[in-house]
Amino acid sequence: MPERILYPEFRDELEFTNYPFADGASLRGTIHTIEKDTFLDATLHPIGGQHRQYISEIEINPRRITFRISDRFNSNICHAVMNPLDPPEILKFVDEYDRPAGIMVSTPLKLTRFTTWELGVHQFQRGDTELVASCVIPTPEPGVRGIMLESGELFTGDIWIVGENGAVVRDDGDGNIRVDLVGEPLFNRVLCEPLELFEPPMFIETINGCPPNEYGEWHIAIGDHEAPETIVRLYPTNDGLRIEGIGTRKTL
Amino acid sequence: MARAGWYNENEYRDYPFMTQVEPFGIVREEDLSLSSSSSLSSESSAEALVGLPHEAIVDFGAIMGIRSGFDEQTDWVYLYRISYDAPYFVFEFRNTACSESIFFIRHQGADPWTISWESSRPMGYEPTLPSSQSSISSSSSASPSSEPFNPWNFEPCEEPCWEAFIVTGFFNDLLDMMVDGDTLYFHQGVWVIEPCRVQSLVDSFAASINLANRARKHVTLPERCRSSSSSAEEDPVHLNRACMTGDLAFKGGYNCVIRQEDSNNAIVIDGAVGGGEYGQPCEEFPYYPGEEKPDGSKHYSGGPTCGEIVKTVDGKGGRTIRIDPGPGFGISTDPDDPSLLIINADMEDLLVECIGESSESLAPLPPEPTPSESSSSSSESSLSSSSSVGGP
Repeated sequence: MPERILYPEFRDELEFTNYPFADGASLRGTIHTIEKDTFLDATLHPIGGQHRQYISEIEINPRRITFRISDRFNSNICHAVMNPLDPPEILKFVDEYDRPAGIMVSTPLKLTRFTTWELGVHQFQRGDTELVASCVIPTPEPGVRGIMLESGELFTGDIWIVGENGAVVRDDGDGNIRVDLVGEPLFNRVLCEPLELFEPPMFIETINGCPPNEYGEWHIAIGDHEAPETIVRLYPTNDGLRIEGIGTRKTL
Repeated sequence: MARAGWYNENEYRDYPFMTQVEPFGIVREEDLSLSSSSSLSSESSAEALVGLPHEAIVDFGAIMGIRSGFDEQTDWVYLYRISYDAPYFVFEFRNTACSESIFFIRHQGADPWTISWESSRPMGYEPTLPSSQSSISSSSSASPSSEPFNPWNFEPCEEPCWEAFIVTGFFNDLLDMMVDGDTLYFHQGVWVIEPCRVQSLVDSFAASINLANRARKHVTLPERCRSSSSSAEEDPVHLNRACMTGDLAFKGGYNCVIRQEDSNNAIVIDGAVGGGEYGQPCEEFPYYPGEEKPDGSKHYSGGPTCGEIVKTVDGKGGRTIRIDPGPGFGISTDPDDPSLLIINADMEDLLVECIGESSESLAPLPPEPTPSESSSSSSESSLSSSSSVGGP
């Protein structure tokens, strides 16, 4: 009498069923058919993804095999890439911004089957490779999912906005982020210091203990309280001052 | 034909754990004294014991938080230990991405298919059993501070690293295995949750906005003027506000114009002199609460103000000012102190007439000295200032 396993293990139970594809999925593509036991389990949750997701394309290249997922409204909403020479146990799907979008569980041995497919893109219709509903978690994208810079770099998680070089950011209350651009007075220092090209200047602040006036001007005055008519004269020259006495030169 | 339900099926198989083959590795509590909990791969401390009763845990699912760093291909969630402190069982789950654990507490007589959600707790946390009134958990909150801090080491907003649910079944077999006070520890790779029971939210959304400002650049002395003990200026970051969530808006302050471009879903932060809600600032303002001006300076960045430095002498400015001697005067420097300028009215080559006798005796304005004259003069000097690049 043949033995019957009443409670097979999860993967064993589903290995030769369509799971994680829907019961009615034919698994037939333009040329090839995906074997029923290729994938053992799946969970897909691409951001912005709708229900009824399916494998829409499998692109075969000598060095990489790409699996693409689409749904009713979005094509190629996420993808997974594997090296045919080193197939993984888990296909990790990511979206266009490299955010995780789910996994499909298989075995390295089973994934090597795709290396026998012809090079090129193998397409599938939704009815052929639709995943069961429990393997798809529609993930709406309300609010801000990330902040992207002009360079294309995407920031997610706890985002830090740090003001520097004369830009100041602060919480202005009621959820307002205030940005002040006041400039960096020591900009030469900032620009040159990384290259160690900046020599901090030293300034004359007093001469004989006398500070300049509010405009930075410092004066030498000729005069004497006891003799108002002094012979000392001070003249400006092109590059400074000339100090002399009035009279005639001695002839020796 | 009637079929068993989902939970009933899982009573008799490894699910939600990945399928195992015997012998199962269990490390008993006493063995942990020989090896750290983080290195349970030590085979010497493992014993081949009975497996985990299937009927105890019939379903499990986890959501890895945005900060967990979980990688679906290389990380996994696993059962770390089961403790029995009659009449409660404590199930501790861990993952290989972040150090926080999740604890589920079940009464030994709990109804089958009891579901509960829990959030992760930091390493070292011990759950509080219902019979104990002691409070264990503590949390820290971030608040604006004037102290410099490193934002990259900053504790994130108070959100768990990961969350999970469990569905428990029956504990009869577990009660046969354990007595009061027993704790079973499992190897890291033994009772691993099926990968598809774990959803990763890593990098999937913007959780919060945090504001900080890097300290302004300060005036420093030249290298040659610093004492050997003084170190280079640090570049700390000062927190302004952490964990801003909800409806946020950017607001242009001084010289800042912010606009929203609906066509490409962009926010453009632009600079414009006099722009923004407040135009140009009239004076410096502190970058963070409690910022102080360096000693002796009127500026937050330090250094003298424009009126505190000598820019001209009798209207003459520039990098170098020369003071030349005319008839009757000599200018020299002190041989012992080159920084000392000596102006001497020696009258050596000057015949002085009485000024009051004739106004014609006043000497006319002398011609500008030729370079040869300047160089031949034995007593001339100059005031020189250092480079003024950068300004105060």
